[in-house]
Amino acid sequence: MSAESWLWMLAGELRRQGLDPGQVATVVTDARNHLRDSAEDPYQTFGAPERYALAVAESLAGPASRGRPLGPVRLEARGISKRYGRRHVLRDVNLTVRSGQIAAIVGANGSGKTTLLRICAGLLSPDAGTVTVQGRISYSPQEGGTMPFLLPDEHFILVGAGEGLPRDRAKASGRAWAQTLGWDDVGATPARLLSGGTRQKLNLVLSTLAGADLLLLDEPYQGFDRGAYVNLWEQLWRLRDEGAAIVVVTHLLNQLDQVDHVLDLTEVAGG
Amino acid sequence: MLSRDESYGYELAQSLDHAGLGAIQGGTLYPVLLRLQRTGSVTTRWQEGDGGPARKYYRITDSGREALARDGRDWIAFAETVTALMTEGARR
Repeated sequence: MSAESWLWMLAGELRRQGLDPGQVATVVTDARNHLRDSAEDPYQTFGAPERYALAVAESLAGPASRGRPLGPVRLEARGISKRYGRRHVLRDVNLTVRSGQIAAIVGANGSGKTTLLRICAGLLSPDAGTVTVQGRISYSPQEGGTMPFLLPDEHFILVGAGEGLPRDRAKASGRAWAQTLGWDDVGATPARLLSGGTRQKLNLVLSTLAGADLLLLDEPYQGFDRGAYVNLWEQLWRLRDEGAAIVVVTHLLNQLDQVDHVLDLTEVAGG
Repeated sequence: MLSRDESYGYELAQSLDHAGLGAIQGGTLYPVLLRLQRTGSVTTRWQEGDGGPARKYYRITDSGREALARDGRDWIAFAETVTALMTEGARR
């Protein structure tokens, strides 16, 4: 049997085990690379596809992961409408996100994604509709949110202080989060001198430091390279599995990004 | 091995083989790496290969180092006990 047909069967078995499409793609890519390097027979090195898929699924399943019941509703937006002048940006939009879910708000530029997120965050009033939030919110804006003259560590300490975290703990957990996003050299560079992508990572770390129940992220991976992008999703999945409710605004959603709910504003904005 | 340098799956399998553990099959290796990643002991990044496909590199994290130090001590203590017992048995 050729390696490709073994990999094809593996992908099917992994899906059957309930893996996210992103996880399936990662596992299959790992196996494909390994087989290419080693030139071994897939059955020799990985065994039967269904057995290997089971082993992978067991390794991925955290203590409170797959098959968990969904938690309480964290965000409920009903009948949201917003106009700027005569232009309807949002028309009767509904969004419900529960603890343990990731929702993506997608749509073309100008379709009202950021407006909706700001309304959910309570930063903007809708012309009609209600937003109900249960729990603590953390909002990561597309731009801003960092303080130009402060070092990353000082950001961690400042935000940590708001959560009652001691300085050392805040710094350590900020740095640990930064590392999971592939940002290792959290050094003596003030925020204003960081690259756009790194500043965005800082923003993300700050929004996750707070340990919020509801995370609202506006275009969180702008300026990220592919690796950081994959890492971000792995972290978001982890937070979700730990019970966070997450809303991600994005204009680019590829098959790697496994989310539980997609709200496409392009369709709604048509009228 | 990851505490020395980051590495990718197949290279790790080869290093383990050279270290004398025999051929570790991919079916054993990757599930372990996934578990280490899930528990935060290793982190991964994709690196474009020279003309080849992108490779996923595994790197140990600070919490991975802590776990290694802790489990390493446990292992050494265990191995010393077993060695002492076996030495006694083998001498008879």
